[in-house]
Amino acid sequence: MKEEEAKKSTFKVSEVAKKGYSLVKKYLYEKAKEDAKQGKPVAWVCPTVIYGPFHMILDAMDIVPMAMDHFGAMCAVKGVASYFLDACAKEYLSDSLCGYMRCVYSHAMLAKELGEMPPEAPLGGWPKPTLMVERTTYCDGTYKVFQTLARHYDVPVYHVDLYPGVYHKNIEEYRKRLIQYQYEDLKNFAMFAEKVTGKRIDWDKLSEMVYRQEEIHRLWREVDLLRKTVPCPISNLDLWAVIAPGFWLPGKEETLVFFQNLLEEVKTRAKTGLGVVPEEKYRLMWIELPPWHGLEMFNYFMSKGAVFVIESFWYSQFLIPTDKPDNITDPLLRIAYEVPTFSTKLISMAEDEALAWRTQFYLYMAKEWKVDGLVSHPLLSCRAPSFSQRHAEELLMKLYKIPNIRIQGDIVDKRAMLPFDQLKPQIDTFLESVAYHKELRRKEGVI
Amino acid sequence: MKAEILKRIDEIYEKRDTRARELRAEGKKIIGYFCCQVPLEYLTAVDLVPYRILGSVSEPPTQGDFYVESVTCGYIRSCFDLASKGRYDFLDGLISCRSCQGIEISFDLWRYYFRPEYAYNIDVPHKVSEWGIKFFKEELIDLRRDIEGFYGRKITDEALREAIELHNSSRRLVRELYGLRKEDPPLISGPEVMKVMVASMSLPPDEVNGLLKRIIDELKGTKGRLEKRDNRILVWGSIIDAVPLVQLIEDCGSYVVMDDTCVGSRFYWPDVEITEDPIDGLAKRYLDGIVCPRTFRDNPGRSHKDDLEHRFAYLKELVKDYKINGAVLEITRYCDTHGWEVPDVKSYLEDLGIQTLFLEHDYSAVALEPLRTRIEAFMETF
Repeated sequence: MKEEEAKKSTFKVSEVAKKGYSLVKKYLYEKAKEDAKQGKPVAWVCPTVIYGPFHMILDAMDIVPMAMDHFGAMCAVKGVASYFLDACAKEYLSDSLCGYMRCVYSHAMLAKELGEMPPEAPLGGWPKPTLMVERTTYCDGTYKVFQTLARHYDVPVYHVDLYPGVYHKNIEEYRKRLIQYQYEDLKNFAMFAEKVTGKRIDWDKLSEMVYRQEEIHRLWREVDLLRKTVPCPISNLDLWAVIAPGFWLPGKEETLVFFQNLLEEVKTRAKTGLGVVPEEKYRLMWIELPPWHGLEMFNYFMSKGAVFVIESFWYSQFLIPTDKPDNITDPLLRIAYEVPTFSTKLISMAEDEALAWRTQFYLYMAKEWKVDGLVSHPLLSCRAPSFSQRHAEELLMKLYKIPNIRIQGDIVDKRAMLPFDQLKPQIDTFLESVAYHKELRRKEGVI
Repeated sequence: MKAEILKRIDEIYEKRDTRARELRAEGKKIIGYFCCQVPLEYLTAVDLVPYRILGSVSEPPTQGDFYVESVTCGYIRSCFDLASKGRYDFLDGLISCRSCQGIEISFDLWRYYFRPEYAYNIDVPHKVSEWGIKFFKEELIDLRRDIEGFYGRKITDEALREAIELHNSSRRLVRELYGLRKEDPPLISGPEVMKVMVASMSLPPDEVNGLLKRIIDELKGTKGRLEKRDNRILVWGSIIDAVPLVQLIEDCGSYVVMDDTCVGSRFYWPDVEITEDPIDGLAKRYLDGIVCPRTFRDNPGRSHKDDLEHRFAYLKELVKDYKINGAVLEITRYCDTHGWEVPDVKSYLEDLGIQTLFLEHDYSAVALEPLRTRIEAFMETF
């Protein structure tokens, strides 16, 4: 296969994953807009990330949740990001602030000026908010955007302090404390949303969604675990298409069916030895959010027999707890239990007490998924992942002799990334290094 | 003529680790810390010496990028750069906090690469709430227990109250020092105050207080030392831990008469309330009292205008008290917590009739020079 053809050809192998986009388009945009037209209150929400708690709570209150971080990624995928990334500079927002959120901010700002969504808005944009909900989560780049955006949309804003936690010496007590803190905050958020909209939570519906989302995560986790199979049965491009329904349509029956089908498909592929590429030479790990504007780069890797078998924890579900105590029946408490458990589990796993929990995660993945090489993607507009990449790179080489390449870029802004022609020789050299180290590890018996 | 004490400040500023190294040689333990949310009173209560970890805008990082990605905070990269060159080799311990994500991860990396004998990380809620204060208090109880266990020294309530009094004295003295800037012309310049702030975060609190008293005493009654200038500037923003930016602003024809930054008023402003359980006062002060953009001040249900008032009313007071007529809003590149705050703080100040200039910089003295023309032009707009 010629290189240009290889770059253009696709290695999306999952038929089920391909349906993820239409699911999101239907429910996250079309139905949401229809519901808003019918007079339902609308909540702008960001960021969602793992577990989608706000979407479920809002859904259970008959409030329409709009996922703003998804929209930012869509701007990159649809190639309309640059203009919106720059538009908000007139309000003195730095070009290093989160690219997703700058796209959202600019759209909202321009929509206010124009009286309607800018025509370039992917999927037609979104309806006006009744309230806005932001969350601390993993990154500083998103957690105050609605507070600022309220200058254009003067609606109530709630900030939910829901985050994975930090390294802690008193880890068991800390976990309980964090769960309790986040539970209190979720309760207050629910009361806030009720007060603003006059809607009441349907607790039965919320419970149903929360339990269903746990099942969705269990299925997703199974898919991730099946990627340990050699050859890897599904590509990272497929998995990134799965994120959208997994994160932004949480707790829905349609999402559950989607993941059931996905797992069945991946199981079949794994059982029959059907890999992503005809000959899997190298197994790679990708760390960080992908360049949504340039996903074709991955096809080039795969055309060389290099398959991405695992990615950063933001979208890997295998550490989400599957063993929640049955006696936790309050759905908000079950939500609060989720995220702190995820990170504190990693902290407890660290072989070296001084190891950062994020780095611990990468070491664990490299071992379990039999990784030969690391591709890291420092992001111009996303600090959260970029801080620990150097550490991961260094330790993977030091401990496991796994080489890396860094492809500097951004989630949204394609101008931050080298053109593919300039990246290509670097990728070729990296793959030579991967081959060399793979042989070296084999000889020395390293992992 | 320069007051004698300011010469002493120059010495400390230029070699800020000298005293800490001396104290260490005498057997004291020196504990480094990041940011404003670490309760230094605990350290003082058991005779540990707090030492603020700062970077250097004057020294280009040659090794910092090994530890931390280049698309991250220049201040943090500089701290790692200095540490890797042995500039922090006198630190016996590190206490950090989740002030922002960069600092949170820096704790992990510092602990791994520099292996301090004592290391502790405090989780600090990102917003002010009743349940957040409760959570934070429990965090502080954990820290107290951990310090006691590690150093074998009991932090008694009595010792803690004394330490609170001592640090509150520093806070009162800093406010008094800042009060000298209300004069027209101010009795102390912006760069001089910057040096005092850096010096104060390099010494034990009793020595800080002695130094501050001397500065205040010597400066009172020194009217005429500085020439009159019309432009009186507030600097708001992320970390400034050295003179060059403040100097540049003053060189362009102004005085920096007030700052709202973390090596400045933000660090010192509110006292710790003396409460029956001293940790209650500490928790409230270090979470709610410190007004840093990293902390979300929940304001559910109010209008945006009310929200601005809720968040920035303290700036109105500063503008009035310090007769401020211009503000420089500066952020170190890649500082997300401050970055999103800029549109609101800018419009709030402008609504008060204050001219503003937004500057984003690379935490590098050399890279400041291209900003000179913008600052000069800004000064002409008054």
